[in-house]
Amino acid sequence: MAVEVQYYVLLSMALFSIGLFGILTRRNALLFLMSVELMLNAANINLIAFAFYHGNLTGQVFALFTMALAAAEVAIGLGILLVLYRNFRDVDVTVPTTMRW
Amino acid sequence: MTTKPRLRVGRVLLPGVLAVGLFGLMALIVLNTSFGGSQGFPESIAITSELGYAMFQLDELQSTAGSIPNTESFLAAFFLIAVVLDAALDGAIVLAKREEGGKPVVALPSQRDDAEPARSATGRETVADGGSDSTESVTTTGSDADSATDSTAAGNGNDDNDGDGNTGGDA
Repeated sequence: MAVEVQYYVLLSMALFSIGLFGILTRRNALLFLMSVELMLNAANINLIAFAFYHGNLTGQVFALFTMALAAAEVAIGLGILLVLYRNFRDVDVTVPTTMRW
Repeated sequence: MTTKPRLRVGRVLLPGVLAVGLFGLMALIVLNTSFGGSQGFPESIAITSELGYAMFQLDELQSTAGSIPNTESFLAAFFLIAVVLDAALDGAIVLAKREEGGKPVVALPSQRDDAEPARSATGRETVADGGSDSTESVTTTGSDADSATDSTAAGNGNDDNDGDGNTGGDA
């Protein structure tokens, strides 16, 4: 028996909220990256769950593309984190303030 | 002594409560929505191969009898993602590149650096594992490119002197 789609949606909302919680409360750039990954995976769960719900494979293929985009985002994010550490000797996102506002 | 996780209160409390409240609100909406049953996939279809055919626009290979309807083809999106991944790789390399004195620092140089003969000429062995030699204190700040070339010239001068001194000592 298949699990109903609303539980998949609940799971993805929980993941999204955990990611949002991490972004709003943490100051470490690595934890920021991990939280963004959680939010992207929440979107993936929604895509796959609704692909099953509609009996359509488009959502599953799109989830694969989202994973590739997440990989690209992590590559750039880790590069930015390297530069951040090199310039400030810290990965605290509240330290660099010159590009703020 | 073990440390247990503590709830940090103060500046971060309000955004955290906001995130938890957002989850509560969304969960309330979802649990009060009737989605109905899932349509699902037919049993006789291999999902993975259908995914591959959809991704590479191999429409004639897709199963027709009892097939999964309305699956779009994603060949253009596949190439776009490939370009994006390539650009991300280049961007990561550019961001991770470290420059000292206008020249990029590479982990495994294919050519000998100009500063290396100066170090070996002063009697200090080059450390093979890439670590810094404990007998010398080379401060590699960005502004000492000129001083590095100066020390190279000085090192060459010392090279002759040391060589003469050594041969003299041996004789």
